[in-house]
Amino acid sequence: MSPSDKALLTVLVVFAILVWLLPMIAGIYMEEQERKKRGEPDNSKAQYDERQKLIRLEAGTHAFYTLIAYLLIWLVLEFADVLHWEARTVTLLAAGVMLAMLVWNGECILRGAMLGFNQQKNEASQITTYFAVGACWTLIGCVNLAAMSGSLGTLQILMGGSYLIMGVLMLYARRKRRQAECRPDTGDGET
Amino acid sequence: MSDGAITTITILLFIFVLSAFIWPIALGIHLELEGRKKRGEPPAYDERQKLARLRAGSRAMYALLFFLVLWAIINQTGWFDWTASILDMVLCALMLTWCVWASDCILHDGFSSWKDKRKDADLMVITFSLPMAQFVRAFCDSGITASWVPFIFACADFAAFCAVLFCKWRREKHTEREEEAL
Repeated sequence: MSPSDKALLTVLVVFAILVWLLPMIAGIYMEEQERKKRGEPDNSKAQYDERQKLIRLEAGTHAFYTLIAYLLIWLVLEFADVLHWEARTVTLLAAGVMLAMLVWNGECILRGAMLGFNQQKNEASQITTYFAVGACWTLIGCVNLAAMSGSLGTLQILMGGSYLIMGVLMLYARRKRRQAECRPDTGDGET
Repeated sequence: MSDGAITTITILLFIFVLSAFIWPIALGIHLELEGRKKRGEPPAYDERQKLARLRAGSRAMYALLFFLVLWAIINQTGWFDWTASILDMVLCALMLTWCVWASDCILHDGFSSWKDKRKDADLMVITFSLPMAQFVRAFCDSGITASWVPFIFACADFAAFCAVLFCKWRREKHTEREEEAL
């Protein structure tokens, strides 16, 4: 594929993404405006307490360190030439971005800062969404791998895997929280 | 011995030497922190500064993510050959994140410890960024990197730090003048 073809393809991909995104953004904006007019409370926007805000900031910093470590490890492996990468730079970059997002989301989920305090009742639907989206992307990735589009397939499987892991983490956090709620209070400060 | 084996041994030796430098420093910091706790000394950064540093870390992550996505798009278009070089990408990423993190910390008074009573303690960032730019220049000059873009990033860092420090100095002067007027 020549560079001009690649450029054309990139422009087309960006255009296709915009075609998908713009109606969604317009829909969300119109719904928000309608809600404001009706005077309904906006629960779609997460509201976090001070503890959650702090946890989210810490998780962001940890994700940042993870991404830097990933880049340095990649650099060392590239120079050592011990691993002969089949994947393209874009795939590896996307994998790094996904890893960082997974660390960030994972820490937020495990420390109870993923959903705002006004969104706790949406937890079950959030878990279902994670599993559904994860399964979809994994399936599409497998189909692409089978169709010999290795790079795209790997990327989609990674994305699907990230969503599935987030779903599992959310289930685990929910189970742990429920166990803690069911445990009798010993009276010495521990629940 | 093959070239690959020599490169691997060199890299392993490099990592070993690097870790030999890092671990005593890490251990020293850990012991010092433990000692401070035992002596009941307050931490080097107060709560407000810690929060500012965390926020700066979070912003640096967003900047890094944005940069990597942009790099991936440029690499995909194939306009510039040097986007295929991983070393160029990592050096540029490090320069950018350092600039975002340190600038944000300086602007929110989280760069130097509250114990540091020197008036111009934030100027330390210039003393860090100058050798860093020389380090990057050495990479570019020796031809290990595919382009001079990392050095441009390093120079931009230096310029950005100068601008940030100047802004902060002006802000402080303005506050002082207001206080005097009151």
